[in-house]
Amino acid sequence: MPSEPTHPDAERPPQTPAEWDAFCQAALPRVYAYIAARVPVPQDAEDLAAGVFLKAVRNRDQFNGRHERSLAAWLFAIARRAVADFYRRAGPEAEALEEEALAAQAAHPTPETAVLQAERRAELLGLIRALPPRRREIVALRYFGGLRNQEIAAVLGLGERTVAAHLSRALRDLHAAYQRIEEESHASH
Amino acid sequence: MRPTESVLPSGPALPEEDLAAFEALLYAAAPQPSPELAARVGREVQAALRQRSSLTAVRAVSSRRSPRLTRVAAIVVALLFLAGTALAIGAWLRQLIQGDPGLASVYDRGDGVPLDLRQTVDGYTIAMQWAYADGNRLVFAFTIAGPPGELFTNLDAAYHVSTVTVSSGGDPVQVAFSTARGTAVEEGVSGSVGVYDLAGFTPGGDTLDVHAELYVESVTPAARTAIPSPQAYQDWWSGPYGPFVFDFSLPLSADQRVLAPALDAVDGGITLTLDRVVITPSQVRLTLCFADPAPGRTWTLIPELSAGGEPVAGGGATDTVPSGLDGRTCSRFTYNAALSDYAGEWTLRVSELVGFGPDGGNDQQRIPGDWRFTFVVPE
Repeated sequence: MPSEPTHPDAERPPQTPAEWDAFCQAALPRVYAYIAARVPVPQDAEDLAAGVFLKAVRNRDQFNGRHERSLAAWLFAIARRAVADFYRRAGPEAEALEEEALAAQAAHPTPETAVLQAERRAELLGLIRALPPRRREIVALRYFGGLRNQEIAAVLGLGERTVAAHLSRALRDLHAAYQRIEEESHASH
Repeated sequence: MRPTESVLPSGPALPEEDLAAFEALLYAAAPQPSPELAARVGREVQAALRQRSSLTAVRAVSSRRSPRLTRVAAIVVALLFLAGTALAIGAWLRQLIQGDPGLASVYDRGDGVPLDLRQTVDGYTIAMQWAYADGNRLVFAFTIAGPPGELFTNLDAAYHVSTVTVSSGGDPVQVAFSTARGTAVEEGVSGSVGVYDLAGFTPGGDTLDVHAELYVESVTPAARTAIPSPQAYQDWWSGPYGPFVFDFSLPLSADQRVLAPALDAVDGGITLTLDRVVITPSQVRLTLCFADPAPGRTWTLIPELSAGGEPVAGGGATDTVPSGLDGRTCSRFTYNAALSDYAGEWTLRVSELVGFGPDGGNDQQRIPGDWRFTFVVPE
């Protein structure tokens, strides 16, 4: 594991402005991808991701390496709480509005999503978002956040074996669903 | 970064080659942030770092308080204990301030005051137990307890919404939050230390009157182990609860030495000026000013301090402060060190100037050099 102080997997928060900058640039893709898997409207996801790093700066003295296992786990705990707060503030209707936004995106593909590779990514993202909440979160933390099972367990307050079991079943279900889509796609061509 | 461990501890549900290929697709499906977001995060984080420990001495206007605040009965108690009173707070506070030599020193000497103030809101109780103030810092320690018999995985104070105002023979001013630390004290109880910046506050007397409105957030009973559905998030995280309102008075340490040496040091055509030194029992702050070596960059310095010939640890954090010298940038260096007993010759050496460009950490201009300031701190 990399352990340099500016890396998200380091064992202490960055100390200097330069370290903070490097840390944020390294961690941002992971944090944003995790949030975007949970909050489908990009502007909302961007606002939340930016807020996560501000909160990390303001609360950096509260990082406890023994409790959170790693700086990355601490950061994703903040991100997870930010998403929870987002839905708590927005209320249940926010979910419905965002489902509408997703449906609109699917109905009007952009030039980028018309490209096969982008289509596959969009399909996979859609399948991940359709997973049951716990599995969706575990998959997002693992494949978008880059966390190890031990860190996911720390973020979610679950046992490591529970995380592994959920991950295994989620992968099996995702793979089966993805294969069905691929087969239907080939059949239609 | 990709974790390398197997995700299938009880035997693969997919053939290994399928699994590897599918995992590669999953990694590639990660939504990507826009370049604008990366730039925005860089900007906002740097601004937050600069503001973190600067004092925003905003006048506290009573009309800013919501009607809810006034509805909550404030505990108005002034407890003034003589310095040196034996403390019985327990090991948790000492453990929390272990990494702050200045604060640990004043606590060990009994310079703070024990308090016994409690307020309960919505079943949660904050007990204010200890406070200390000098010319640089206001510090208070408190516990948060949940409803009896309930265990928690989180019982954290909400510093981002809490407000603290102080007065000392004049109008109250709101002081900026500086740092905080927290720990578990016992089942269902957490302990916290909040530190606030008094460096820009001009007292009119030797007593500090404090008005603190605190909130509790991130309340999570330990029993909540299941991950909620999106519709049930509001049942997962509770809070913020409050305000918990505390009014108390404490002695403001008179042990403060303020020097204005106005010393210049020149290297490579760049002049640095040591503008101000403030020494209190819990902290030392030094302010250095200089003309930006290149425009369009945010400049900071790499300092080393020695007092009485001994290197000073426990500090070096910087923030940018308003300059009294026209057109110059001033950086304030903070050492959480117990140096109020150190008189004699002190030396501050700056070994490098670092200028960050608009593109952030990778866009640096570094100017090595040797700027030395030697000054005498009186007894």
